[in-house]
Amino acid sequence: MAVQQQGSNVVVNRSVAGSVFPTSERELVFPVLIDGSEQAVLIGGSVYGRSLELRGDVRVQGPVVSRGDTVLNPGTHRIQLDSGITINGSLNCRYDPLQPLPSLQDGMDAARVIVKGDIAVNQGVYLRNAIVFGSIRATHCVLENSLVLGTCLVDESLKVRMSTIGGYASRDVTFEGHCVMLHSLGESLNAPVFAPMETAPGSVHDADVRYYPAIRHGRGLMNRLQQPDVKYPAYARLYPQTDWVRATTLANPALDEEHQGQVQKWVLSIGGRISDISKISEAVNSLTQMLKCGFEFEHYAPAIRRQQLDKALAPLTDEERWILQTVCHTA
Amino acid sequence: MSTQGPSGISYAELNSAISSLRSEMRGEINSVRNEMRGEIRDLRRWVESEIQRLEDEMREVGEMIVSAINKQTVAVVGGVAATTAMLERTKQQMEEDFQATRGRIEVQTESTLQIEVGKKVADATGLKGKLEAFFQDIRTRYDRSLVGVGLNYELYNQNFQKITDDYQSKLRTIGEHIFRIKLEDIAPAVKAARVPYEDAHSLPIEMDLKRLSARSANLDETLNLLKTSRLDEVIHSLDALDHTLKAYTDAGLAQRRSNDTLCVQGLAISSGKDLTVLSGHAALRVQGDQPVSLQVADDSLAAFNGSAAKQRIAQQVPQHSHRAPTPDEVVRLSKAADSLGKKNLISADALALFEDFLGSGKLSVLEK
Repeated sequence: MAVQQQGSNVVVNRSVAGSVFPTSERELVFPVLIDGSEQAVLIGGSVYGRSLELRGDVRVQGPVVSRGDTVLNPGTHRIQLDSGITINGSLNCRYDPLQPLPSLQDGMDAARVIVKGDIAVNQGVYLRNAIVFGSIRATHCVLENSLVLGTCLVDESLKVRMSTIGGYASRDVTFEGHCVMLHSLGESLNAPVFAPMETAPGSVHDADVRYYPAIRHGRGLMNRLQQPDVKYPAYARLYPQTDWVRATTLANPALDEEHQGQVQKWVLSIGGRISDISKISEAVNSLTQMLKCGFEFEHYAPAIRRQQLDKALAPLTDEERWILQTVCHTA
Repeated sequence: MSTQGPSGISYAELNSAISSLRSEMRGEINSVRNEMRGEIRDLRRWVESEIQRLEDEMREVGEMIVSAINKQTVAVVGGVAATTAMLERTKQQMEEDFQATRGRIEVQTESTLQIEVGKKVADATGLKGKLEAFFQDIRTRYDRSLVGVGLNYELYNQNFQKITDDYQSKLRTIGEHIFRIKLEDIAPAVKAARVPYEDAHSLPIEMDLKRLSARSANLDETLNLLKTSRLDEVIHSLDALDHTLKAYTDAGLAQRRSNDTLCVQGLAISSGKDLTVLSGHAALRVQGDQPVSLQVADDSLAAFNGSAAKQRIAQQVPQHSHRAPTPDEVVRLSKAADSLGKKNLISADALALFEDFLGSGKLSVLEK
């Protein structure tokens, strides 16, 4: 049997065509372990568990819902969630610090976790070497060597470490090391913090945030300034002193802000910069088309699926193309 | 669905059993009655046959006696009197015997019949009692069954109530759990989807727009400063040069001007119902809801805006041929209008109206 009960755990170690749901009242309180460390596990439907651990090579095609905490432990494999994840507790990407693996800084195919859809978490999110083809909603969020194509709506603190995000709205935000903003969308209640990042080998990288449309062609989705042969134009940098401005505004309806009336916020804005609007427009349109195609791919008629994909792939860069083909499973 | 008691017997089955028993008993009673009728009929037939047989025998005896007497009458003529007397006595005796025999036979027949009837009546009475006992038993059992049915009904109600309560309780538990999962587990996703991203990121977009407008105003101000500090000086230098040249050539020009033909450029717009002539006007920046703001810049050209000029042009318009503008002219007109709009010399509404008018194809150009 693919779904077994071992003690007070539900263990799935082989592929299941349908969903993994509790079948009795007592199974509602059992933790669920989906173990793909021995052989790849494909769950054709959804997964629900009191708490969840996904281990090894696991792919879940339906939504993943967990009442408690969820651990993603891909090891040297890849965990792929095709319909987002909703968690009442926390979401953690576990990794072995003594066994350093290639990261997204080395290439997109080093991604250990790929989530298509939104990540909605009631508490904290810690993602490492992850690609989120959607947005993140959480109370605390730490992204390390990760890429979020959507936005991060974080009630309290957002830490972006050597990562790329589409936009953010948070109470506090910290950029550590080399980061990229896909869009100039960001607001925080407190002033953003720009801090150096110390990586595992011991090297320290100063904070450097780049604007993606200005570095899009030929340079990838991550800020790889630490690599010796990578150079970025100065105009691609987002400067804390000029591009983050303080504004008087109302509380953001997307956040649990309890402020009444007007508040002072720090907003990322490149409105005053002289720029090539056509390039920004091209980048935004391409990324939007990529997200649209990725989310709608399974809903297209099979006859035009390939045609729609090719249309969306045409204006994309290599890394963007790899991501879209991976989430559409056409790579 | 049939109602069923805890004993497992339904009302329908009980009714069916009672009906079958009733029909069975009715059949048995009918068969007994028919049997008794047959017995009585047989008995009566037997008694009648016995009486007939006795009558026949007596008649034969009588006939034999009579024939014997007749035969002996001739032979015994002599002792007729004695014989007659004897015969009379014999006949008398025989009649008495016959009567006695007949009475005995009747008594015997009657008693046999009474015995048989009594026996049959006793049997029937016994059967009736048996039937009555059976009926009584059935009635008792029926009454007992009714009591049992009533008790089972109550028990069924109680059990059904228990089952219903249990069902409601389980349903409520399941519902509570479903709602708990919805409210607690699915809530993060619902919360995430509650506010659209356009609203979540409206502030940076508004800030971009504000900074863009501030930057635009800043650039306009810089442009004005550049104009006043650099270009105006150049323009004024041209005017100064003209003024200087005019001073030198004023006398000669005055002589020649009286013979010169002046050409005044103007703009005439005719819609068939109205005619507008604009000459020597300057366009100003529009303010408020104004579609366009024009001002007469050169009073010396006021005559070209008067009613005489209008009449003159109105007479000229029908005499010339009209044609539709070429696509190139339409594009140039559109660009010119767009340029006026960007310079804020016509309002956005007026620009949109003009674009609509161009698109309608109603514009015609007067050929020279």
